[in-house]
Order: sequence, then structure tokens, then C-alpha cells
Amino acid sequence: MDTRVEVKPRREMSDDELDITPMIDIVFLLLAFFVVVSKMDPKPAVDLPIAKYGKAVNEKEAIYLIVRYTGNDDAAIILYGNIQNGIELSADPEEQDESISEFIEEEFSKKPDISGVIIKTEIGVKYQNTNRVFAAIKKSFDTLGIEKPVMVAVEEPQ
Amino acid sequence: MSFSFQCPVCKSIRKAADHVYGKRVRCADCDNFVTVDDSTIVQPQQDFGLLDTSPGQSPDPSTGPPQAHESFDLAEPAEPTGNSSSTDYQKIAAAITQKTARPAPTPVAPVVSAGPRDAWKQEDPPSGGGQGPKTGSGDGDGDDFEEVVLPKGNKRTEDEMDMTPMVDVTFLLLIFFMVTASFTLQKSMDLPTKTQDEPSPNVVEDFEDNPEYVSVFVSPYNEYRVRTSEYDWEDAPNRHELRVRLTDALQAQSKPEKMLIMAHADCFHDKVIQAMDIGVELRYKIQVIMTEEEF
Repeated sequence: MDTRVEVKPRREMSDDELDITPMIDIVFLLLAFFVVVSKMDPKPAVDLPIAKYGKAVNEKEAIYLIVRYTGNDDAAIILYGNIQNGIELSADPEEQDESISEFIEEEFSKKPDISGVIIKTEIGVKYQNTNRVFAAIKKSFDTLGIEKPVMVAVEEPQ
Repeated sequence: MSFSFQCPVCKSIRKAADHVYGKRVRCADCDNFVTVDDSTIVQPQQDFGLLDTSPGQSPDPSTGPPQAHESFDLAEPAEPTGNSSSTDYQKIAAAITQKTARPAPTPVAPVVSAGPRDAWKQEDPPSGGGQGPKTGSGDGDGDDFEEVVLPKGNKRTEDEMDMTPMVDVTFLLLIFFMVTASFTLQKSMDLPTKTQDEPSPNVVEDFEDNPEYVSVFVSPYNEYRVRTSEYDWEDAPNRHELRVRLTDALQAQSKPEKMLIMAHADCFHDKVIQAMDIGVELRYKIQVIMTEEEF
């Protein structure tokens, strides 16, 4: 039998042979994921005070309030819950207290397993605003007869 | 129009369409890349038509159709040619003998009736049996090229798929999910505030003589003042000073364990948080109240 023919036992995988189909598949998947996620989270960025010893709390299990710096003594308050989202309150402090109480009551009556309330106060807001929001939350807790932690959001130092 | 070229590695001769000239193609026999140019091209008269095993020339019409040489590249299987002489058959047979010498999984597959895809799977003689005797025909015989229906050994099968990029990207995805999962966690601190509608100086007075307490006042100018059982209000202009004072206070004889943060209504929220952070670090039990007085 003539065995002149040189036969390579096994071809090697060279770079230009690389099958990129699965990679492309997953890159598209990743892209789709990014697109979906970026739409799901329209929450504004809040400039939080820096603290080293904050506890990690799952944001999805808590409801939170954003206390925004407006440049003067008052603060803009935005409410974020599981049912109602992104409600911006009027500038009047008394109306704000009332709205906060209503918001807390509604959220807790529909989802009683909420782990707590987080106050996200921005840097530059005066402490009286945090205190006022805190008092409003505590008041509605007393009305509802529940005991849940009220926390202030912080940011880890970079 | 087509021309023939010879693979420099396996020496097999393939036919290719004109547009392939000058391009890199993969040899369907050995899977090496061949640049089709003047160095590899062979003259038509030298072409002994290894692949000219078309049904037209075949004594048995059921023998290997041209699909037997189907490949994934530009090198096309030879076109059927009707003018092959009997001497061509001898050459074909010789070439086939070379081919069968390859260490293929089924070196001389006795398959004639089955299609090329099934051919290499069948090691047993086909059940049809009609072509059975032909498998034993002599090597020099012109009919031998029937046996050329050999496996395309280098055909890419599914278990050969390179999983590396997929695994890479899957790990990337995993890391991404791990990172974004931590984004949903919000760092926060308990706000141990006494609720009171009217901030009253009386509350502060209750702590004044209590040696368990260290008091920190956050002024409306966002500076700290510290009072312990050992000294009255002392300034601590920034958080570093405050930390030093609170560390010192821990060494006092009264061993204070509690810290009262008296935040002025006009001080910044983040200054209160800073004081709380230091308090947590030094393991004080913290209480925060708001006041409208100054100390």
C-alpha cells in the first residue's frame, strides 16, 4: 500500500477558526440585560454622607425617602415604596408630614414584611429636616402599632 | 470555469472555481490552509481527477455521489466530467489507494449503497447485500474507487465545539451579577433619635451630671463641642479632633459608655452622621436629639 500521502493526525485549532457564536449569543444576552436593568432603575443618585460603619440593608425589602438638598432651609422630599414610587411632596412642611404618614401607612398595610424605613438625606440638608421626617415616620408607626427600624442611608468611603 | 490546485501538505488535488484564485482556502482533505496561486495550481492536463468520482463515471450509480467530498470551504468538489478515459480510472484507483492508506477510523469502509454521511458509521456490511461482493475486489481494479466513500475525518462535529469563549463570558456574567447584587444593598445606620415635638433643654439637663454619658454638640456652624464628666464643653473643630476627644473620654474614670449627640436644628445632617460614625467605631451607645439651644 502506498503511503506517500502525509496525513496530519489531527488539525490544530487556529485562531481564525475560533467559533465565536456562543460568545456573540451571550454578549447579546448581556446587552439585553443591561437595557432592561437600566430601565428598571430610574431612581435618582443621592449624594449621601460618608460613614465607615454602616450596615448593609437590602433596598428592596425596605421603603425609603429621599430628602433632597434644595439650597435653603427646606428640603424636597421624594418617597419610594414598593407600591407607590417616586412621589415628590410639596414644599410645605405640614403637608409633607401628612403625606409621609399616609405613605408609611399604605405601604405597611399592603406589605407588612417590610424590614424598615431608610431616610436618604443628601449632604448639605439641615438636620432639622431629617429630624422632622423621622418624627413623622415614628408617629405613623405609633398609629399603626408597629416597631420597625428607621435608618439613615450612608455611603462607604471610597 | 474551474481549475485544479494541489495541497502542498497532503498533495491531494482539488478543483476550485475561478474566483478562489489568490485566496486562502482550507483543503477539505487535511484541513490545512492553502493559498491558491501559481505555486499550488496544477495544469488541467496533469489533473488526474482524484475527486472525479462522479455518478456519471461510476460503474455503479449508487456509488459515492459528489457530496462525499462536501467541505466547509471554498474548495469545491470536482465537477462531473464526462470525458475520462479508462487510463484515468487507473490513476483514480491509484489515488484511491493512497487515500485508503490514511489512518482513518474505518480505513476501508465496505460501503457502496449507503450515503456518505452514513457510510463511515457503518462498519458492518450493508443489509441490502447487493453490493457486498464488490468490497473484496482487487486493489488494481478500476472498481476500487467505490471504496473511496470514506469518512470526512475532519468534519467538525458538535463535541468539538470550543467552549472557551462561552465559559469566559459566563464568568464575566457571574462577576457582573455579583457586583450589581451588592449595589442593591444600601449602607445605613440606625438613627437612635428620641421623638419629641418640642426640643426641650430639660432633656439635655438629664444627662448633664450623668457620668455614663459623653455629650457631643453639633453647632449651627457645623463644629463639634464635647463634654464629659471631667470637663465642660471643649471645642473639637473637626471630626479628627472629635475622634481624639472621644477616645480620651473612654479612658476617663467614669468609663462612659453612652454618647449623646445634640444636633442643632441648623447643623448639617452629614455632620451628625460623622459624629455617629465615630461613636459606632468607639463602641458608644448612641442617642441623638435635636436641640435649638447652643452650648
